[in-house]
Amino acid sequence: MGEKTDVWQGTLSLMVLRTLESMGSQHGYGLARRIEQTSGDLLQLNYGTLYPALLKLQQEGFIRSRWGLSENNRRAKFYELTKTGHRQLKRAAADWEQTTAILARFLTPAEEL
Amino acid sequence: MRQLRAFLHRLRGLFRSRRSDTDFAAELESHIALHTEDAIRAGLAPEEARRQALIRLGGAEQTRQAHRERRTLPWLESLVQDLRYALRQLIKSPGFALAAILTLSLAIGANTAIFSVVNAILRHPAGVDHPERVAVLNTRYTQFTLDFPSVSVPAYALAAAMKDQVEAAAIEQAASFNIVHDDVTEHLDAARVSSQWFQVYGARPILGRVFTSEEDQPNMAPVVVLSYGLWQRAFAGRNDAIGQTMMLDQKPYRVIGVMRSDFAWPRRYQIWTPIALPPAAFAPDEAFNENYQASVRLLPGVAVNQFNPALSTKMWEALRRGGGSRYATSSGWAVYSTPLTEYAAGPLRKPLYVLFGVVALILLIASANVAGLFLARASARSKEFAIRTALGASALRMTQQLFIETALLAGVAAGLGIAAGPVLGKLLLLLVPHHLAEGYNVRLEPAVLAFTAGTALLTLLIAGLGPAFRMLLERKQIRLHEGERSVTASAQKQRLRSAFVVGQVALSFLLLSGTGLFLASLQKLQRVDPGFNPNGVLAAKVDYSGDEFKKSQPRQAAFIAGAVDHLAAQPGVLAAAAVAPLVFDPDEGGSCSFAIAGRPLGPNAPGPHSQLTFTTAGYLNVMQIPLLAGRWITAADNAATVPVAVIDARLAKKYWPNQNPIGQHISFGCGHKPALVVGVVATVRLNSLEEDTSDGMRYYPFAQGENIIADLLVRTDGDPNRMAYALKDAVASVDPSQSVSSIVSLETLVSDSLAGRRLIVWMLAAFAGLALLLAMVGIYGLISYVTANRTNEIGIRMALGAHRGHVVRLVLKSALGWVLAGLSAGIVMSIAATVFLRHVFAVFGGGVALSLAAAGALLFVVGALACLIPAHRAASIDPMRALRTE
Repeated sequence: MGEKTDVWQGTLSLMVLRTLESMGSQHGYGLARRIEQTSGDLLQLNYGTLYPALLKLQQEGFIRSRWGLSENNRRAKFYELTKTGHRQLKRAAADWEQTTAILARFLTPAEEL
Repeated sequence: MRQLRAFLHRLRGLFRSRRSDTDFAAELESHIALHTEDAIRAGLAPEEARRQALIRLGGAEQTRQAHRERRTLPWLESLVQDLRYALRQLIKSPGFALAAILTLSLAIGANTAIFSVVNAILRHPAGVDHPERVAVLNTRYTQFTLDFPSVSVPAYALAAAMKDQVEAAAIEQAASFNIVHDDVTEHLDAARVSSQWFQVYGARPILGRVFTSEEDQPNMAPVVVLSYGLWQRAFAGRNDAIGQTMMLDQKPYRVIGVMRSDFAWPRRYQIWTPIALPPAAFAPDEAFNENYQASVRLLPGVAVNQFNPALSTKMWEALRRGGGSRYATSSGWAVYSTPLTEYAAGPLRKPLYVLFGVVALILLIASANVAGLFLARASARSKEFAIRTALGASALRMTQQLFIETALLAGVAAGLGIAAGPVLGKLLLLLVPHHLAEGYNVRLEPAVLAFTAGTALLTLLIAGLGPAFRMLLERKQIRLHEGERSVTASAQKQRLRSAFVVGQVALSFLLLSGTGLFLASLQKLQRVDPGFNPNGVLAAKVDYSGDEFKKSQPRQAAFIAGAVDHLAAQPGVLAAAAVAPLVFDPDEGGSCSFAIAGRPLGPNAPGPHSQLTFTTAGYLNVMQIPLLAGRWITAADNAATVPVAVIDARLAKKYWPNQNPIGQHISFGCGHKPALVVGVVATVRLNSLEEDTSDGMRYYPFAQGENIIADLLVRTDGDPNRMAYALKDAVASVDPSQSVSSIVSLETLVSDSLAGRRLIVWMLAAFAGLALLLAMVGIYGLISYVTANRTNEIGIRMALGAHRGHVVRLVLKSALGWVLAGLSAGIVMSIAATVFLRHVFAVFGGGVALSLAAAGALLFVVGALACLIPAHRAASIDPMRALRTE
């Protein structure tokens, strides 16, 4: 997989939730960079798509936001997980693991097939 | 839950758009700044760093748009926008808005009015619970062309026993009582009913209880349930009325219940008492004595057309067991049920359905008109739409906006319609004769509301589809240039609008010719000679009160003779008589089989059958019915002399063709006693000018029979209503125990028999006028628009030497073309409608040619009138000015 892939539909929310869980409170730009880094720079994130996704999560009550100061003293909006957000992350992660596990069974060449 | 939460957030987002916009702009700015700083740190030049940041973002504006769409509900937002825009547009052209709203509210209001009446009369009569499950039992004798809503006791008992289909069954008989109230005898209409009657009609008392099946037995202490109205009058609405004793016909009755106020079935009845049928009434030989009304409440899920076959099977089984099946077969006897709603609407049913069809047409015309208005406006706004298309507005979005404009109008019109509908409906009921309209309650109900909303939606679809359709056709063309330079081709583009105008003309024609046809039939019916002269005759009904009186023939004879003599002696009275039953009285009438002496019946012959009437010596003079042969009943025919009968010409012709019936013997009344035929009189209509339902009439002297009712008649040379007091006085002075229950002129009774027709004619005339007005507006709007678009063409024509006359002709030609096209369509529709209506109405379809011609001429005149102003305007065009604008 030499080229950088786009983010699949629906997975961005999970990535955001997971990143917020590991980093704690973070602003939009920081989140975007971190997601790219975590993917080993394999993902090509269009930063503009991150904001509607953040808004959606906020509307669903999984994250909340407040204005704060960045490490280099810039005013930025910081996002963090809510309690329901933590729960949602667990649920979504489990779902995703199951999905990938099922797919893996199909994709790995199996003796019994 | 999660979706709902997000939806609510987005809904809230609609109203906080500016603040959120600023907030997000700041967030985006901080994002770009953070990214730029990073890039500078990585070694890019500041300009380039910022450029890269924007590229990675995918464009600041696009991001903002995506964010906005997520923040709010885009479709709702555009809806609100469109609504605002539509409102502005309509306020900007108040004339257009007013015309459209007025047109639609008239149509929707008329529809709501008719529907509220239809709902009250056809769907929910008089406070009966779930009326669709109540069925009324009828008897039919095919051989005698008899069909009436009453049955015999054995027939009722059989229906009541069908427990697998019938929840409750009841039998009733009209009765009347006199109560003495402050020394004045008052007459009360009452019903004697069986104990399940209240269950059949879902009639619950608001006070006390209804009677039990034990109380509904012979020789029980009499009890009574009062109507709400009587309770208010007689007991001032006091709760302690229950248990009190009431004197009815001088006999004590214990009050056990009060019915709720909205229950008024059967109409105008004020008292219910147990019918308490003796066991003898159920004997098999009573099977053909149809003296009772019976009704059943079917079990849920059982339909009338399921019940009828089962009922028929059961009846025939019983007949075969108990005898009588031979007579039943030969006379074509059958018992069947009809839904209460059908029965209750009675003669109003057909007219209401016609009116319903008519208002639907009005709605179509109004919608076509509004669609035409919108099309005209769309043409005028074609430049606006062209610009918007050029700027990227989608056809869908513009269609949506057009629909919203129409919806706004339809919504306002529906509101007005809802407000006006029931009021108009009440006015409509005022046009209906009292005895038909009584007990109906027109009010705003969920069904009426739903109906109005439905019509508004329909209007919206019809009026909105045309313009939208046209816009979709035209969306490919960007016609920024048009409107500046005029082109004659515009006229062709009005094809859709022309179609609407043609449709309007056709529908108006249908209504106009329909009005003409109904008017012609009404006039024809009004000229029908009923066989007697109703003018100047007043009738007073006396329901005999008191069991003693009802069973005492001498007392009745004395009462009738005394009252008639008393009346005849009054000044101004030309003739006085008594009769029972009275012709044209919707509550009266009777017929039975009879025998002719010396003519044995074949084993399968049903035997002769006819209507019958008891009357007095003065009857022929009062009614002015000619005596054809022999003599009429005289005062000398009494209980002590030979029973006599007079027959009418129809009966004479039917049973004594080319023979002299005088001197023959026939049955007296419905019994076996013989009566000598002494005379023949002319035939009269029984109850309708529309149809001759008489099987022939037998007249018997009052003084030789027994009755339960009598109508006193007087003929005067002046206004018959002035005799009302004399009639009451005659009754009161001859026998104070009797009282007059109602007074009505014979002319009213005869004219009321045409009430349904008259209602149709009135309403059709009103609606046809409305349709004509709408059509005129439609033609005017279209022709003036097209003419305005042809200004330049006309200018050129005039510059080349065309006369004003030519120009006027040019304008008229296209308008009259539409009228002609509409007329052709209208004629086809009218003929189809006539053929259909001829099946529904007796005496209909006379004067077709005249009606069509008159309607056509009227439409031509209206079409020409609608063109006058535009034609005049076109003819006054100054060729120089017109050409200069080119």
